[in-house]
Amino acid sequence: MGKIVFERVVKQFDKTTIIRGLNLAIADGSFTVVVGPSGCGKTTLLRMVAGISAVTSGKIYIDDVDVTNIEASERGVAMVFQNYALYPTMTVRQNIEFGLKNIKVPKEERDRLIAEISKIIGLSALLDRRPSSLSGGQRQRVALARAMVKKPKVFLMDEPLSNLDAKLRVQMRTELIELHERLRTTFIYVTHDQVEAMSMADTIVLMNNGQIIQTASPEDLYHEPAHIFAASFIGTPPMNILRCEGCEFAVGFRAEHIHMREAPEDAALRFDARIITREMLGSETNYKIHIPYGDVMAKNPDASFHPGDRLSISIPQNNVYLFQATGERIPFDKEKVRNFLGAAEKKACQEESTGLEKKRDEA
Amino acid sequence: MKKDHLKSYLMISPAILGICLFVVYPMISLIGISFTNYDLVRGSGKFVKLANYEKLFSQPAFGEILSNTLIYTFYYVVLTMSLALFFAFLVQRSNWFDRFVQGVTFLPHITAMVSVSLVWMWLMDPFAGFLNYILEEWFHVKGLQWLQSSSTAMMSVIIINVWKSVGYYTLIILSALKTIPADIYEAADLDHSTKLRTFFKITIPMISPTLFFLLVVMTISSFNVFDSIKVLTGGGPVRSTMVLVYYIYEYAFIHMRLGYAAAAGTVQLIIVSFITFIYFKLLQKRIYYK
Repeated sequence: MGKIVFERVVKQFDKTTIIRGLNLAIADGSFTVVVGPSGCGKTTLLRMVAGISAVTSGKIYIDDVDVTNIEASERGVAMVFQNYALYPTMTVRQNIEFGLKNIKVPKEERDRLIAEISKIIGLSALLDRRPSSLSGGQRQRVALARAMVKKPKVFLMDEPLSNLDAKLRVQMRTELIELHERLRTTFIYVTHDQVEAMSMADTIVLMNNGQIIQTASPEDLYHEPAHIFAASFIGTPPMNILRCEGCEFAVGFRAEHIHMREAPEDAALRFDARIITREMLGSETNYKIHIPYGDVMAKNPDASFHPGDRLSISIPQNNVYLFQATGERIPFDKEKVRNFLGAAEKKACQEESTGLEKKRDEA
Repeated sequence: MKKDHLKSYLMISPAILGICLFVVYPMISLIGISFTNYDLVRGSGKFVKLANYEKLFSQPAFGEILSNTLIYTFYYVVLTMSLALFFAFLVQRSNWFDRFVQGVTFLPHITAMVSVSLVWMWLMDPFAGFLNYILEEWFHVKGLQWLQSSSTAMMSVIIINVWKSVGYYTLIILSALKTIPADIYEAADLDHSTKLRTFFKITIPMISPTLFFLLVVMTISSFNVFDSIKVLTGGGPVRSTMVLVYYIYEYAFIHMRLGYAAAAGTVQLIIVSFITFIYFKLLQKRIYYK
């Protein structure tokens, strides 16, 4: 078991509010990834579940038990820290063993558990080494083993892959998914990397400014973003958003939905365009395209366009998203889109997708 | 390659020259003089083989002096180390109160030993002293003779020296404590570790290089204790606070018998080197280096 419920949780540091009245339920056995830009409160959220950071107000339940005021060690959770937080003076074996010794697990039982875990994680050969003599990936494994050996109800992971190189990160991603398949315990995983979130989660909790923007499966979050922030945070490149000063609405569409040759029958948007840059990535090519409303990103298997080419691009109706100026998604409406385009043209609308992309990269 | 080596040696030669001139030469010369009956009054001496050492070890007082020195060193090191650790732990946060205390504990270190000694001599005065006032008025215990009795003089000297240096060592331990990342403590919390276990299993091993360094430095500095003894007791009463360096000082500059003093100095050199060697042998394997 490992069901977690947050009830109107507020966290303040001095006078700054980090988490603003957060409600969230995390299902038992789920792989939940909390994702958001730096400073959005995602790590704080995780630390509050662990019990190493106090809640200012509100309640946290684990398996229907109110743990708000329960000691970290009594909550049945284990955590993998961003910098691993291994005990540098201890060997790998002692690192894994420390938690067991503290709860007075007998020696034979400890040896059995360590042997079992180190076989699963692939540490058997390293048990007598010190953390300082291990590579980043190996340290990561020790941190995982140390958490696993306690058989926790909930695994908390705070950006565990951020210190690994790109190749190892991809490999560890698959291993974590396998591990979750095997253990079937609740995983709560915090990251700022939307690719990690999309690839591993069964549920994504998207946060910004101490609030939850959307909780959904990766598919839903990608295809049905509830908010302009979700649309522009998730996806590589993020969704193109057209908006203008004083306009009531914003219009969004994803790069891969831009038709660059013949227009589909149900095209809702159509623009005269010019290719600005071209990035050939292999199976597909990213283009930065200039349209009268600004610049947008397009993604297409067709690599035959080149900077300077003039063309007409179009987007089918069911790939066009409509948002209120405040950010909330609203149902598609032909009339509203037409009004938006008219108003935008008049006001020499500024396209902001590149600006948003920059913002996300910074995050 | 060879040319590079030559260049390197050339670059560090001023430092090497300095060390030879001010460290190596005096040490060799000390050992050399210890085999002579060099006299400061005559300004000359001749080779007497091991006569100085024979005399040194045949003096009953010398054993007493050695034991005084070892007792002083033992209590000074144990007390200073444990108190410094304790204080460093108490004031390791960085709020205004802890920072204030950190600053205050450091004050005795920057005060001259002579001034400190004068204040303590007043505090420890058997008749008009503040300490006896407290003992008698508050606790209704008979006051002590402190520096003026051979049974309490050594203890008093140790108290004063510990008091003077504990703040300095507290700061050094504090800086070592601050290098321990917070998430290691959080991991220990999640690992069901008690405060005491975290202290002995995580904190102490992680600051062990600093503690080891302090142990060596404290031992050496306590072997060299001189100024406080000179001001407070002059080695008395009845030799009860006579330590090796003070003994050397008396023979060299009061009795002017440099050869004899040099022999005592050589003995001290050997003892300190031996203790340091033992420390390394016993502890080095248990020290954690990054």
